[in-house]
Amino acid sequence: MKRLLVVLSLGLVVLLLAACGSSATPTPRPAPAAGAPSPAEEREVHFYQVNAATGQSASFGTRSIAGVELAAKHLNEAGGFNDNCGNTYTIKITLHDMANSREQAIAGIRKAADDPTVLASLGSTPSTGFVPMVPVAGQVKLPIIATGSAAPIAEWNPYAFRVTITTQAAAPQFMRTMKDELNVNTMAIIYDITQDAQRAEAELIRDLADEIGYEITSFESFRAGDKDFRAQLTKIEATNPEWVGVYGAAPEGTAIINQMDEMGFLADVDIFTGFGSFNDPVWWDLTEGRLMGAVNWAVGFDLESDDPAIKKVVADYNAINDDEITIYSLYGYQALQAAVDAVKRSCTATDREKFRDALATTSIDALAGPVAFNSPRAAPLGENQAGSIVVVRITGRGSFVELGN
Amino acid sequence: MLDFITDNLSGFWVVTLIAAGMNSIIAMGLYFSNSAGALSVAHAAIAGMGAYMAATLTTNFGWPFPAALLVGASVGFAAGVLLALITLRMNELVAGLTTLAFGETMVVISFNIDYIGGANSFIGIPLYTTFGLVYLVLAIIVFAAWRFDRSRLGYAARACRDNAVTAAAMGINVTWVKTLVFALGGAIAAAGGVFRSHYILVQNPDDMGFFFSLTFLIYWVFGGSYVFWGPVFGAMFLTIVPEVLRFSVEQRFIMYGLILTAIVILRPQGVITRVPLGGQVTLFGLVPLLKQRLGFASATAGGPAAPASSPNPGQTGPGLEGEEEGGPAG
Repeated sequence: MKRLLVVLSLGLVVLLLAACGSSATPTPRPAPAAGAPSPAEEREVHFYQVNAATGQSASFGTRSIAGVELAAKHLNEAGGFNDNCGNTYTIKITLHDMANSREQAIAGIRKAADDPTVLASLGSTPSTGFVPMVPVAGQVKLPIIATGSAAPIAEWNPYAFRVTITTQAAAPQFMRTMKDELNVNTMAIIYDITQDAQRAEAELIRDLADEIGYEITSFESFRAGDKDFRAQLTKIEATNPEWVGVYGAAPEGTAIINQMDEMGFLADVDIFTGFGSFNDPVWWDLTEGRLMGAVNWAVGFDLESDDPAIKKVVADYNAINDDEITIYSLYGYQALQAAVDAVKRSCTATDREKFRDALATTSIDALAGPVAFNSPRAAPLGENQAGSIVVVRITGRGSFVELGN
Repeated sequence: MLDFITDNLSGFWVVTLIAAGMNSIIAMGLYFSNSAGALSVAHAAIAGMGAYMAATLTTNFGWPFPAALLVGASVGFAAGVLLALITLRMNELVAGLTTLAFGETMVVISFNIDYIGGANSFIGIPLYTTFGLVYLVLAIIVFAAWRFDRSRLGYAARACRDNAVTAAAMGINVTWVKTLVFALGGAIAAAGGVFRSHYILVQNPDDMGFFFSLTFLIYWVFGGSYVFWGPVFGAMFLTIVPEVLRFSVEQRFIMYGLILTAIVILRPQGVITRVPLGGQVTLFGLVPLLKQRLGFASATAGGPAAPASSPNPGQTGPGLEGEEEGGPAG
């Protein structure tokens, strides 16, 4: 046993020394060409993915990872892509699992920054990773593009971006559509106080009541992991709302809907939520179809679309992944699309500053809708400025119609 | 020397080692708190309380970091006093559950305080924690633990842990000893939380929850709960090993779990157990420890043979641990 401990200790020292030695002298990045354009080259552009492959957010992170990898696969199988200067690129993706840990997310982005071949990092999907990564991205000057995080960012810097459509952009449009199309007058909201995005949207909807012209009759909260929501639902039922907003993750959200039915008042109200949750077949299955007629906003993307590009993505994704394609898969796919577009315009696979400046002026029609960044160095803002949403009514498992249709 | 280390290590390993250092500080807080027989499942919450307090002072009021660190540690000390007094007359199981409930209560309260961000986290915290600072403070705490073990307070704490009734009969003020050591441990854990918040730059109520407290308990038990090197070793080993196992994304946590399980089965008393020191010159107890582990030390000079290490933390031992010293504490 003593010798085993000695061996383990020595092994740890060796590994640490190996890590030290392997990174002691990073290869300096080549300086960008100053004068005449260089001849066309074949290059490899290297992106990192710092995302949750394991841990409690893995269901979101793994889909985003798969989306990025699918996008890379499509491009590489097509022979790569050309930039505006005539160079041809293939894509290399390296995954760093942050396991829903803030420390590991920071370690991952620093690892990416230390590798001179890495141009940018895609991810993370959970806000647990992206929020602490934002200031570090500014410190190490590595561009990062989040693929699903919706938490508020206190201070943007020029190196952080996200393709997500956040509640700040979606909720006002959602409520106006509800008012205009459905003449909503009274609503109650029950929300998960421990989920940043769910809570933020619930509070924003509450705060928009006077401006848009509806009344919040009850505003109840619960915690992730709760199983019994009857106390909150009893209070909600007593206020006779026309609509009930259900803001939580699938386990709690579906339990709330089922308990509303058990209490006998689901038939008397309509339900709504955000983030396309009701579009997820998991919600339909867990509520046994009680979602019929419910309303939510979602990214303007239809998995059933006849568009050949979308059909190919859906088919290829389902062929190589066990889990179903969701919006997080699409966020990953279009994050790489945005990154590739920036590479095309900046004509570089290694110059992070040129890449960042190109990324900051992105305006493309990506897979799940437009992606546009406007993030000058003097006033950085990494939000997707062009994300569009649709407000849909659920008509079946994974099927819906746009409101008004 | 520290600049040499950070200049020659990759950023990834600097972050990992800083995380290991911060975890070690919080685990050392557990060592102190549990040295008198308590079982705390609230140290992540105590660390979080210190973190929130210090982060509020530095971010919202512009306080200097040392002052905020002091206030944060004071919050942990006060929380430790409160918990110690509440759990004083409880048995180990009930006391553990009480501390668990305290921790979860702090989580719920934090989620409901908008001023500190709630579920949106407290963000915008300035960066103050450095590699050098973490390891300097850890070294101070390790030294303090070494002195604590050889102090009257340390002996009294272990006496209370082994048999509180006998300790009281011998004239030890059990209430005072248990409260003081728990509070000291709370202050140390809170200091660790302050460092963490000023490195991660984000503080979330989830970081105060049961599973984080359980993680620190695992560090303490895995490393060895009777020796102050135990929590340090446990935190360092269990923080670094998952990073070393990154060559396999899918299997690394399976391998981590297997390693953890194997060690717990083979060494249920922890990796580092009590070791007799005799009258030898020691470097915080490390020199004779290494000698014995490497098979160089024979029976300790001037002292009794090494006792069998206790597999159960609550097992009544031989009272004051005279067998660990060649003479009275010095």
